[in-house]
Amino acid sequence: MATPKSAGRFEYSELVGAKELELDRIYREHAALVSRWIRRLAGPDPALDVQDLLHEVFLVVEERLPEFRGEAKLTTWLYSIAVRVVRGARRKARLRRLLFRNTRPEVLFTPQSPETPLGALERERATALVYQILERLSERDRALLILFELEGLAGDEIAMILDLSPNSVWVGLGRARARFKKALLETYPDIDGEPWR
Amino acid sequence: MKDRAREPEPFTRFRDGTDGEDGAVAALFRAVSEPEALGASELARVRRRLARETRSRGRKRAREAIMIAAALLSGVGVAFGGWGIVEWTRSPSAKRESVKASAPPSLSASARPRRPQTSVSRAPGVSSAFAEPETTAAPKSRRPTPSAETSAAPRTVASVTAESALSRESQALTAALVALRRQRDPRAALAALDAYDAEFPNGALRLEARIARVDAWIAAGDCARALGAVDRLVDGAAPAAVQERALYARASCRLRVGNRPGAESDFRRYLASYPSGRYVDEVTKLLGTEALR
Repeated sequence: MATPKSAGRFEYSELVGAKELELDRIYREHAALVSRWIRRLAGPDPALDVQDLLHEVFLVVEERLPEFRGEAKLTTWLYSIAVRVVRGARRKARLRRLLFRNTRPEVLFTPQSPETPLGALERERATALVYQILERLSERDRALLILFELEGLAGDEIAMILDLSPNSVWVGLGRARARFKKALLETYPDIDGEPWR
Repeated sequence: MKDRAREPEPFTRFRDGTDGEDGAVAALFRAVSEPEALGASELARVRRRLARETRSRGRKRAREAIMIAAALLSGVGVAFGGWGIVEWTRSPSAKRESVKASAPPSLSASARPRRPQTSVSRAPGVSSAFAEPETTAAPKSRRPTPSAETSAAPRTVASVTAESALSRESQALTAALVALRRQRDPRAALAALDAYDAEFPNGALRLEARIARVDAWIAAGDCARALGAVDRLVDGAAPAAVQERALYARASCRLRVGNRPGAESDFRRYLASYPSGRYVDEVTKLLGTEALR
């Protein structure tokens, strides 16, 4: 039988190791997926670096892991952290842009490369156009539309991620969709002409 | 995560729309590309960064734990020492009490109110063996206790308060910047900046607020005031990003008030100091035009 002292030491190292192993497992299994979500949430904003944001997300995961009780799916929990981290980074970037006004437009169209196949080019331009319109909406509308329209998440999952009631999600989505369409038509009155093509 | 239509949803997603009213929107959303995940080497880089930080944070926490334990131990030690001394001083005073009790009533009455003072400062007639440990032990026993536990709570509250103060400060400054940049109303921006200064005279964003004020004065056509303020930012100890912005603002101001040599010198200084700065294109263009000649 181990002495109390050595048993204490053993338990401590075991606990620390378990947390590290758990984090490592979460990182190995989910980091790629989280980086894809970050790209989706951040959009083509050159001020937001996906690697930095991924790093920030996993720092929060490390901090909050003891609080995670499995009430939501791990992926939903990770998604909610990613949403908050990206929202915070966007807020900082916006303040920086307001302070040191950039002469470049906030969302850039990816430069057209002659090597890019036509379909890919159209996708890039359509993506930039959608994010350009999303930029004009509130953070809440933007998040709702990205999660529902682009990520295809279900209402209850969005409710968990954004910490809203399912009813608020649907009401908010209805308004966000209307505002998106209005902003799109204001910017591109001839939307039927498919300006991204 | 893609798990659609578990329950009937009140909306059809844009991309699933038909050719009706939302046909073009549907086509637009269908054309949006799927984002790609980071590559293996990039993921490994982030993982290394995390591991480095976890290790350094672990070391920091261990150091803090050791310091807290040491403070607690010394606090407990001092408290025990103080308690021992108090007990030690009490017993002879008890003896004195019994002596005083046998003394005439007038003497014991005059001595009694003075008793508490003897435990704080050295009283005449009390030997230093009693008084000295007490006078030194009293502050010591008080000091370590808050450092161990009670000071941890105010620090957390303070950090939360600081965070919310920064958030309020950021909102106040954003209001000024929105008035200046989006609404193009320099007067409203200056009013918002006055409110900011009144509320946060030593705010964390005060340098940024000063730059915003310079911009607002320039926008309002008051270059003389802007120049007075911007000199301190250019030549002071402001962060590089603020100095860069201030130098560009001063050059623009000098140009506007007709000080062409001054503007040219500032623009050249800008190019030399910030070869990849935010305004390099504009400055290079301006230096090549007649505006500076």
